[in-house]
Amino acid sequence: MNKRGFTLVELITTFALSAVIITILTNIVLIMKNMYNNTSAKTELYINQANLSNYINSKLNNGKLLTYSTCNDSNFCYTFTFSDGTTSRLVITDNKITFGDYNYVLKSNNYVEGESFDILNTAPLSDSTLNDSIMVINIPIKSKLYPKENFGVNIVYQYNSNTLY
Amino acid sequence: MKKNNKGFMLAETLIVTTFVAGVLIYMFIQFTNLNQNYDESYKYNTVEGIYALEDLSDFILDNSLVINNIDVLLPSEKYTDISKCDEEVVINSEYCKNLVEALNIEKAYVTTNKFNNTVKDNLKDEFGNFINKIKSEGSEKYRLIAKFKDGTFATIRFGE
Repeated sequence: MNKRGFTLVELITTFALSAVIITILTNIVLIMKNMYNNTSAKTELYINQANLSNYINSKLNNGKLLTYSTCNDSNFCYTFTFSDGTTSRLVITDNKITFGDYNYVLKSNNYVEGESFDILNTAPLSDSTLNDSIMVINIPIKSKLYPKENFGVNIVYQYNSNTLY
Repeated sequence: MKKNNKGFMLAETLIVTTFVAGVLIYMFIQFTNLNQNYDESYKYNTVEGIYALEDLSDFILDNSLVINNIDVLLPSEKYTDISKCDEEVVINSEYCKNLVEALNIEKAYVTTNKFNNTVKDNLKDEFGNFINKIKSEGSEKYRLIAKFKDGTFATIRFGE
């Protein structure tokens, strides 16, 4: 009798086990591929967020802000003047955020929603050299790919109201 | 009667099944950890969080009275909830509350940079796994640890 080869039971068991393992591994590979694609899109948004935050914060903190005013513009627009005489304009349109010579162009999936500019004052302090006011510039950036997350910036600038007007 | 030699022994089947099941379970656990770390990495020490804590540390350092109060509290209490803005600590409570609100801080603690396991255990309920990832290094004197309203966490060292 020819005793070479596998029995039917052995073959069926092997194929069944292989199919289960391959299915699980394929699922894992697909999930990791999805994770990789999501990561690169998210990373780009986070990098842009970091750049915008760094630029505005550096400009406000290093440039010694002297005054600010709204622009005669239908868009969200503020002009900041610094002690060295330079000015930077913050403008937010549907698909672009500009601060001075820095431009952040939003991709079609991304948009700004609910931007705001606030000044919070407190009562004068006994030590008049301490900061008593806070400027808050909030620019939320949303993405259709990640609707629950905010890739925008929240700039907080502390100052003494005697030095800024 | 001839002996039927087809099929597997029970022992062979059990050994192979156990081995394959073990490998799959190990892979599943590793993959779950990987997925959890991936999700958590986006919530820890975000750019906005770091900038917010820099602003808060500027407020603390600008006012020598605040730093003196913290220096008095830390040796005994080990950590202070700065986000409560108690007048005994921050002097200008109204300004502090405005600042905490503007920075979207839910809770912020000041502690010494090299904090011990007792502090970690006490703050673990508030900060979860984040507190375990903080390394006590650097020559700075203080550390700020914060939880923000959007569910992110951040920590910075500050002060000489």
